[in-house]
Amino acid sequence: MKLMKKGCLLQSTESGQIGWTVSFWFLLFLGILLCALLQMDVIRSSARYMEDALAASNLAAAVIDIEEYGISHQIQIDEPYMARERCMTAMKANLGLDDNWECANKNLISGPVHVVKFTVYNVSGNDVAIYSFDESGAMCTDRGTLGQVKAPNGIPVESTGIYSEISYRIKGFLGLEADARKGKLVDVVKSGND
Amino acid sequence: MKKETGNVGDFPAVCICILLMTVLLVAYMDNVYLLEEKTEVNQIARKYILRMETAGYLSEADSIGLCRELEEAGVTEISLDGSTLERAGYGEAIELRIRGKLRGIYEIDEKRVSTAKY
Repeated sequence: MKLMKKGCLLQSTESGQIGWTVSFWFLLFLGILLCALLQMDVIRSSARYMEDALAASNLAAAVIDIEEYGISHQIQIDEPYMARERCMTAMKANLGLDDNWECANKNLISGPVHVVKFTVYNVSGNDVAIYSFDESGAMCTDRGTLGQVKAPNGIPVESTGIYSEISYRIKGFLGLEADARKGKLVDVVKSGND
Repeated sequence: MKKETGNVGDFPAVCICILLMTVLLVAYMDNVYLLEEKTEVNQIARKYILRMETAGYLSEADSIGLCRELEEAGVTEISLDGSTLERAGYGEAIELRIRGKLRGIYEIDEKRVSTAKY
């Protein structure tokens, strides 16, 4: 059947052609949607993995000074420089990084992982001694009052602990890349009533 | 009753669409479950490295419990070679290494490092 509209000759559509076209576009849309959802799941899962690895690495670094604890019953993290070294060693292993601090599988984390912040909080009574390291490893010290000191992620410091923050580059859907950061504070507290 | 033209033409399109849609959804669900299984293995590894921190090593009882939990999570061909099996001193490095296969296909190699607090 020839259709005429304002003098133009319109092509006739074969039966089923619209069905095929709609099906194709619907499947394409569904495919893209599912890929995007899967990518979000992967990113969520890797964020949890990163957070766990950060917490585990911070705990690995949190070796308390036994002598100090024996004398004053205060929990103090031994030697901040050593704590940073322990944290870096543990982080490298826990995140499965090579010597260049890169993941073997670059499907998600496409660049090197940087430890951008590392801070040790030693709480003694109401005083907080703060030892902050930057990305290059340079340390600066500061003091604060318990209850007023907050970690860079906004969590108040309530007891001796370690905060570390990493930055990395993630590769997302359709090869898009974005910078990501993750920070975690862990506390060292006494268990029981001792 | 006379059939309308195009009914037979639409039918294969709908069938193929449903079939491909099912394939896409099954593949998606499969990947999501795989991610969940991997996350579960991560959580198990995390739980046992924390236990190792307080014990200073991977004890025999923990080793059995770890293998059982990994099997329940769907891991086969489990190997704990490379894990710290001798008690480490306070502040010394400890390691938990889990190798195996998820669903008998996907290789996993989990490594957790911490320090003994024993």
